[in-house]
Amino acid sequence: MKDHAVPLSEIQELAALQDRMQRPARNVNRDGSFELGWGTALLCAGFGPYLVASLPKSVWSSAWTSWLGFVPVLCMAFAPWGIPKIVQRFITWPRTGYVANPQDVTLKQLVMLMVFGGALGFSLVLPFILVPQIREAISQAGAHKGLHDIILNSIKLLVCATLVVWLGRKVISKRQPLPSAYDPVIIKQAFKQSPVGRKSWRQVRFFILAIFLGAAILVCGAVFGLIYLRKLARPFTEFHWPQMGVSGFLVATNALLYLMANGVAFKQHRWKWLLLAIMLVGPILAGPAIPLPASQLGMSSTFAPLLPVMLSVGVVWFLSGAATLMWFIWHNPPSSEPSA
Amino acid sequence: MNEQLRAIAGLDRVIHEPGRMMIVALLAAVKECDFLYLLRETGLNKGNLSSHLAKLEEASYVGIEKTYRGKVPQTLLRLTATGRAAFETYRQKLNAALVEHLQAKCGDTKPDLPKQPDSQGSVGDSYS
Repeated sequence: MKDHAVPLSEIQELAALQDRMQRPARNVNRDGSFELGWGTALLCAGFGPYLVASLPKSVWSSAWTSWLGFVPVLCMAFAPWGIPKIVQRFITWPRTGYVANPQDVTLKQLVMLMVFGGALGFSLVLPFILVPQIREAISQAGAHKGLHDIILNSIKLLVCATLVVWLGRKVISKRQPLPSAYDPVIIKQAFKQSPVGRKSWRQVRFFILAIFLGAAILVCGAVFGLIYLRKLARPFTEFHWPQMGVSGFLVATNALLYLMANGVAFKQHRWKWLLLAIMLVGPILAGPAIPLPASQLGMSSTFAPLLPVMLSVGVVWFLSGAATLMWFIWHNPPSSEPSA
Repeated sequence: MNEQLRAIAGLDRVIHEPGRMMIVALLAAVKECDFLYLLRETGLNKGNLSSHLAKLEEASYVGIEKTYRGKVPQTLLRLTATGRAAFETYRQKLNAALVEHLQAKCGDTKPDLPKQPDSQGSVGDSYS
């Protein structure tokens, strides 16, 4: 036997180990629960303004009923977390057994993430409101008009910035990488120890980057192209570049998320490719056909056309999740054996 | 002694068995799971799985907790700190083998492997 024989059995064993270790993460969406949750969130976000527009004004003026406006917002916020939990508890675990993944988000973490996101958003927006107010106050020296707003917005900015710093450490540092059999540090070092290895390492990195960037550019290009074609077929005033950009971004990010959420499931459920195509084309074809609500709650003209896009994309997510769940229930009868 | 045999000699015998390796790899990737989950994911039968789990528990690699979910009995399983450490060592040794393979592919004649505990001994010594 050669002194430096290549230990292929260990390498095959490592590949088998990697396959086993990635299995729990691969199975997260096998029941379609994530798709159902995300679809529900998008539908709630899209239907919210329609609900506001359809109910009489007296509902919103009364303190007893005005809270109804928060229902879609709450549903939107908690659906991606709550629906998978409910589906797992009552449908998945009785069939395939209970499992807790290290990446599972608890309710406390979710609330922290939401507060962090909100605070970050306000911290970014408030300076754009505050600076013109301060400029206006300086230009009108001596007058105290607007001073109250400046103080109030400064306090808001201070609170939000403090929350971002305080929660940022907790939210960001608690994320753990996916469990893997391969040790990236050791492999990287191995590659970098010889000129040929360094070249191979650069090729591997380039290949990974090309896949992600290529997919993103391809999806964005397809969406923009379709919107542009739609624009050419309609009067010029119907679409604006910012609207196209925001709509295209929403569709492209959802399409990529759909690809990532399903991953290897595309091999088993080939019909999901069709749904992906509908997700990409649907907002452009169906979007203009869906009327906007009469009252848009002060939404800007850039974001208002997002509502039909959200509804269209949300329906695809929801249908995909429902079909996957039905397939899962059909192929996995509840276990009759006690878990012991 | 060649590197391959040296690497095999250094592997943890409790984990280095296909059935147990499957169980430990699955448990390493999750926080905790129940018996039914392992049964379905490993494809082992109940008797085999129970005996492998008993061996892993004996080595203090796996913690077993008998509990109830509602009125249904449930056996919760998780990897202990000792088990995680043992699996981490096992994983690193396999990674060392991969490093050797990569270096051989890249034309490096002197692989820079992490030191094995039995690097001075022979194969016979390792098994004796």
